[in-house]
Amino acid sequence: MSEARADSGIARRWLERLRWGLPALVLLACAAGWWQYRAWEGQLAQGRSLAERLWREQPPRFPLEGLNQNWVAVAAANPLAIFDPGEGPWLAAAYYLQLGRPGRGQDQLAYDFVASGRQMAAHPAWLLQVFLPLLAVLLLWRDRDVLPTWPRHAVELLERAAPAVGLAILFSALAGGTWLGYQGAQRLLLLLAFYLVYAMAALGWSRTVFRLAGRQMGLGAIALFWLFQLSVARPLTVNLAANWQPLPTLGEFIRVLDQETRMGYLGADPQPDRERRYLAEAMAKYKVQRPEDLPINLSAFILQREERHAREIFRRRVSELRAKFERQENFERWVSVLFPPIAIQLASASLANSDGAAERWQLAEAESRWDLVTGEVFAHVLAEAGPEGKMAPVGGDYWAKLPSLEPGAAPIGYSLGNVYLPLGALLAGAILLSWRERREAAA
Amino acid sequence: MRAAFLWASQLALGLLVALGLIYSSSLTEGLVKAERQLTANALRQPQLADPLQTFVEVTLPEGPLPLLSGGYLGISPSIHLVRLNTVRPLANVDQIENLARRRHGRVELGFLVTRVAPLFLLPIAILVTGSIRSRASFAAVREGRKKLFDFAAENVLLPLSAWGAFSLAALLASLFAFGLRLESNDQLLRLGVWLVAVGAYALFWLLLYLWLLVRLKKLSDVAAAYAGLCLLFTLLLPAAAQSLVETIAAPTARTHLGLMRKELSTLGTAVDNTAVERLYEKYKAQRPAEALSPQALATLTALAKEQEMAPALGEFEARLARHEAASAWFTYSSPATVLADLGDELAGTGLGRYASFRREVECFADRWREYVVPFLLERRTLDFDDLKAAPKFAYTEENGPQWWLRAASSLIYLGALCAALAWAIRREWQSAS
Repeated sequence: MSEARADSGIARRWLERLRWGLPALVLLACAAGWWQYRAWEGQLAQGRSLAERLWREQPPRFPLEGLNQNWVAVAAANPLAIFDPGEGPWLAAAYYLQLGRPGRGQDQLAYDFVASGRQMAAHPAWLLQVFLPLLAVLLLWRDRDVLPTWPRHAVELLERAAPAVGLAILFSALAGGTWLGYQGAQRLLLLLAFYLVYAMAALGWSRTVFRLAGRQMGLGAIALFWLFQLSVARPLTVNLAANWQPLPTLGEFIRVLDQETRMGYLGADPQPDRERRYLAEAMAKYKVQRPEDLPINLSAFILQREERHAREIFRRRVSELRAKFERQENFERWVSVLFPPIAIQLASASLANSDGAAERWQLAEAESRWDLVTGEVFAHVLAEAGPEGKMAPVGGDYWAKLPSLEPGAAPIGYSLGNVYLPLGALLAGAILLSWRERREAAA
Repeated sequence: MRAAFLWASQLALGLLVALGLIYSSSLTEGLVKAERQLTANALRQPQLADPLQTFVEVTLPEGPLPLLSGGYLGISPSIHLVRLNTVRPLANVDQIENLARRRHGRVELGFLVTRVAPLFLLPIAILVTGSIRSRASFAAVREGRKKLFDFAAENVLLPLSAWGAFSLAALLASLFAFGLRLESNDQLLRLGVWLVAVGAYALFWLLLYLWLLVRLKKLSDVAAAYAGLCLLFTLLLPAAAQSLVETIAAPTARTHLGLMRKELSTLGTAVDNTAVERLYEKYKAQRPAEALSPQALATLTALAKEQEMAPALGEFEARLARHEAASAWFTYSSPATVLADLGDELAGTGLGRYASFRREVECFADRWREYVVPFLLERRTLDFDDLKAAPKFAYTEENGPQWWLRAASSLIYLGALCAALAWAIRREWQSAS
């Protein structure tokens, strides 16, 4: 037996092993994901019912006292996380809602004991992201002496990749144990389609690198190419993005926020000035000449305006922060044009609703619900307390009537809108590279 | 032409190695500085006389060699505020961070050594192999006219030593440039052990390459197989271990614990006099002439009621300990995780150290409570002497004397892998010849 035949025998053997091995591995990962999701969902449900009970069963007290607490809206459990948990346990499990500055609450701060890394667990999506290019490399390894046409390679790759991708999607759809709805079905179908496009792009990239490097070093070049792509590229790009758009530390951010809330923008609107302005505003609104003639409770009016002032500053400062996050993510999207694994990671996490942008959407949703609640409570206090400042307590019925604090999940349009560039890059990788191959073959 | 290409490739590789080292060291240095500033401003001595309000900030001393970190520097809290009714981790350095970066980690020295070094070793090994094969003396070895040892020393060990020396020089230069100072024998020993472990890790990859070379002969096949094994050891096995640990020993969520605490504090507003009476008996405190303030009564009730949370907290801690133990075992699933874990242990930025700090803070909070509660019960304030006599936090390294045991087991593990590979290469070589 010649050396070349012996070596391509390795590739052939591994291709045969992966024909059953890959679907089996993916199913195992799905089962592990299902187990973890079940435990996680149970804990979230427990937390949610306790949070709701605490909200609805507040002891009788003046509404502003109730509002002046730190409330918790537990994040929605995401069944698509069985397929792709995205940023995983770093995603917020709950949102803390309080006057002035709501925030996110990350449940799992530092439990990733396995030293290699930050929650890099082998979930089904990640396995597909790694193994689909490996299948392409193995095909090229097997056929390196006489490279078959692109369509033949593509069909063979699809034949090997499709069962694993299909099984992963199907099992994830069923394992959540909940009806995912029209949007969920759309998301899963899109995921299926894009993983197959990723497989094609992987093949296109591999064949291109193989041709560019030449028959002698082609395989080595592909090996280095994918090793870099899968192992180093993403950590490198997230770090470069962080260097390009540095974020403040929490301490710095809070200092700026406190200063501006107290003194106004650039110190031009200190609290005593604001209170005088609010008094004038109240007197103008209710058309009275003296504060004593106001038909409402002045303190509540000032508190309401102060809350609006604090929220407005908070919203502005946080949107500056979010803009930086988005610029970092845009950097990654542009870079992903050259890195298929980054493109599929971004697209997959976004479609599975488990990336940072989906979390920001949920937080914004929780905040807007909280704003509705605070608006209603202040309106109630202004009307009920009256000028004499009655502090009539309210019971559980009052809180139960207010809008729910539970945030919903981001719509599919939002998810797709965030990743059209990586998806386009994958499609281009699959189509353009195959077109180039066909043209070369024809020549 | 070929020689020029070889030189250019080696120069480019060398530049990339140096750039990577400088980048990673500068990144870690920024974190070290920020954390140092954060802990320097901590209020370690209590200042307030009111037992309800007085607090102290306790800090984790800086690790022995934080620049070697690939761990939790700036992620795990190294400063806690301890007050009568709360223990709160204060902001760690990088709390505001893109989730993707948190998920994929920082390009620190630990990452560079475990994940990037095997990738860099491949082109270096290919360059060395290519130059060997082109030499006439290789044929002499095959024909038995030249000793293998002499040939290897001249054509393999020398170029690899040059690469090793260059990398070591670049590493030490970047570490010292970014603030590494060896001020004790312990630090020197830790750095030495880390360098030996990194050397053993690099040797493992080179031997793996050599083993593949002996088996597969063709360079391109060797590269493909090496890449596959590299993915297996640096990505797939650690990820599988992580998945397994999260499945069999997942810790419980903390959100629920926080909500339970909130429920208790809400109940605490309804004062439970019996619970307060029990506290008077427990602390043998004198009853003050005037009644306690409503806030003091509510806090004391909440403290007494916190006992109700003990089972939930106990379960949380037990599951966390189970998770830690399972993870410690699974670290040995890959040489990459062994080296990363050892690096964090030596740097003093591993999760074990942060976890032991958290445990010590919990113990200290109990002592703090024991000290302050009688003041509250007797309606006394803390004067200068009382504040001076308040418990002081001193972190004692839980695993301090045992770090070398961990280091020894990791070195033995890496050494055993290298020995197994060397034996396999010798067998292959003998059977081939």
